[in-house]
Amino acid sequence: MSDKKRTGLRHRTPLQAFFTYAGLIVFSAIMLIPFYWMLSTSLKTSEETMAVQMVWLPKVIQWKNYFLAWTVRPMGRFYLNSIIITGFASVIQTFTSTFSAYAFARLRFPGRDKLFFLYLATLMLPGAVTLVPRYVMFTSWGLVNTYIGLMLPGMFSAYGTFMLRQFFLTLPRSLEEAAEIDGSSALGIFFRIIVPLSKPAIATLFTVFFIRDWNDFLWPYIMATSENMYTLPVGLASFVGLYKTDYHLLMAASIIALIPPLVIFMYAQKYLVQGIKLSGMKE
Amino acid sequence: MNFWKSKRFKETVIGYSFLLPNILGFLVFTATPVLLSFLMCFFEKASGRWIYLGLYNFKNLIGFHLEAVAPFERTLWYHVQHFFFRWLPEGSQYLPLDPELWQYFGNTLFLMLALPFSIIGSLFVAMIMNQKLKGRLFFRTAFFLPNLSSVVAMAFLWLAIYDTQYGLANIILRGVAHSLAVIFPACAKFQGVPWLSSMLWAKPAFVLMNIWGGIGGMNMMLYLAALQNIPPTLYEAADIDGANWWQRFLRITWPMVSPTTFFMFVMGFIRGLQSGVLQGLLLTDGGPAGSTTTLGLYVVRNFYDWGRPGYASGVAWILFLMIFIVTIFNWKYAGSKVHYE
Repeated sequence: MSDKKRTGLRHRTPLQAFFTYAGLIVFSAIMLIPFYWMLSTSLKTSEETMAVQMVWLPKVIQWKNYFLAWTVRPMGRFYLNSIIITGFASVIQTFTSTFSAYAFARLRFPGRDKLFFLYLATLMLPGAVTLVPRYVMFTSWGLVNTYIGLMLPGMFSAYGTFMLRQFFLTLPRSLEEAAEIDGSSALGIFFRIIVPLSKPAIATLFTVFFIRDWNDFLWPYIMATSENMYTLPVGLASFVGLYKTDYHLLMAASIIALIPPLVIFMYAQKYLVQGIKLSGMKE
Repeated sequence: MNFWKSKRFKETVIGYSFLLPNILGFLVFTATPVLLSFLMCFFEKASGRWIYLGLYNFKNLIGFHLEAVAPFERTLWYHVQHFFFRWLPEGSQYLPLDPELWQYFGNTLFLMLALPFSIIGSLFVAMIMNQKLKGRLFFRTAFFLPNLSSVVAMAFLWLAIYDTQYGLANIILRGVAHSLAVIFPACAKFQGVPWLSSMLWAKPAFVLMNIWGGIGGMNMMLYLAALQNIPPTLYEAADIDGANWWQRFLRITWPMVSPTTFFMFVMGFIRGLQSGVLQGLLLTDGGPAGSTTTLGLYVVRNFYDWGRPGYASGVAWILFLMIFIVTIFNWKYAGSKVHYE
């Protein structure tokens, strides 16, 4: 983001600066007050959560709620499952998407455009369409309640292929042509030119995949039938039947689940902005 | 020339080997399920066996039947039907074979009321963020938070907020009502809104929650990118002409971001048609009286809770058909209604 480009909306007058910051404060208050409520509830005693008056701050901060939330259900196990499943699924998904996006963007082979159209068409499909038969297929293959069954569908994505293809199309061809004349193979061009040039876009895609897989609920919800295979969202959801009104526990557990995507986002957010600007997601 | 040594063959091999890892997964986990799902619409599973039913599932889903109505039970709906369908025998009216499908379709559309609000909200947030600011990272993260967190965590958050007695929403409303009691004594009796437990309030509660969840996040990012593509010369020219803030917004910003707005609206609509599964499951169990069950949740219920995968596939394909129509509409009319550079 260069400041040169943003001159269109600089502060013209002190009044405008005032309105800008006022708007910012109002909007971020709307966004953040529920989160503040979440945080403060997670640190209250169970009596304090049952107050009809506003309790902004707990009298004594109850760090032990986090310990409780971590232990009343096997949260460590849920975490481990989530890390294994999300890690494998999003890394492999990034790989497969990068390869196929390059094939669709740059290589010439018969049937390419027809196949790409098929990929595009599946972007329209509601998840509900594939959910039922996938479940039936996985049951007959004996993959229900296994790591493989939980992460397999997350490893391939038409969405990632499409996004990266759009980005690859914006790269200048001249570098590749030069490499081709020097006798580089397709694989050489891919690894030495395309991948280094596309780091921000690939990082963006990985972030998007990671956050999406980490928070995915429906597939693990029907796939994981025993508690030791639950991912974090499914494990979190299992709180509701047991501790429906123990809000301090619910909130503490929710915050525990929120930390990894938050850390990844803080780390990757500058790529995210670049990536969106570059990857043709503008329109 | 030997085909196996030709350039064309080599290109084909290279192309498909790049594609291979993804396309294998695509064929097995997307293409095959789609075909299977389509076949399943014409079958149903009963005591472990698939039974061919033809169009029976669809007939039950979207069909109507005639039902006798006692004279004192005749509603406006009865008279509307008799006005349009002259052939209806006196004392009977059409009823859907699956009234739940229509109710849940209505719910799904109702919950999409959040869409315009969250799109406009995102535009304003993006316009504010598109300036020199102190604490940019803080605000950007703040506006991304609902999109980062798991939907389960967000559902729990709103479960806590909407609690009739101890929730944040009612604590604030009670505070407001009790201070208004000085002027309107009736307000003192206000105990709070039964957000998730009444048929009247459950859907608006969901809409409010979705507006909040839809502001910021990816929508804000897309708008930021669109705003930065507006040539500054346009604003400079407007300044020379002495345009005020509102005129600049209405004549420059809004038309220039309209492709983005349109894109978000279409994508939001497509997503909205499939939404509400998790929130329904966790917040209200789809109730009270089915008032927060969406079509997406109806699919899951049919297949997972009631063991009717064929019927569930039928609902899913009706959803697909609706999305298909929206997409076709989008392709056809996007060009004429929206300003492109």
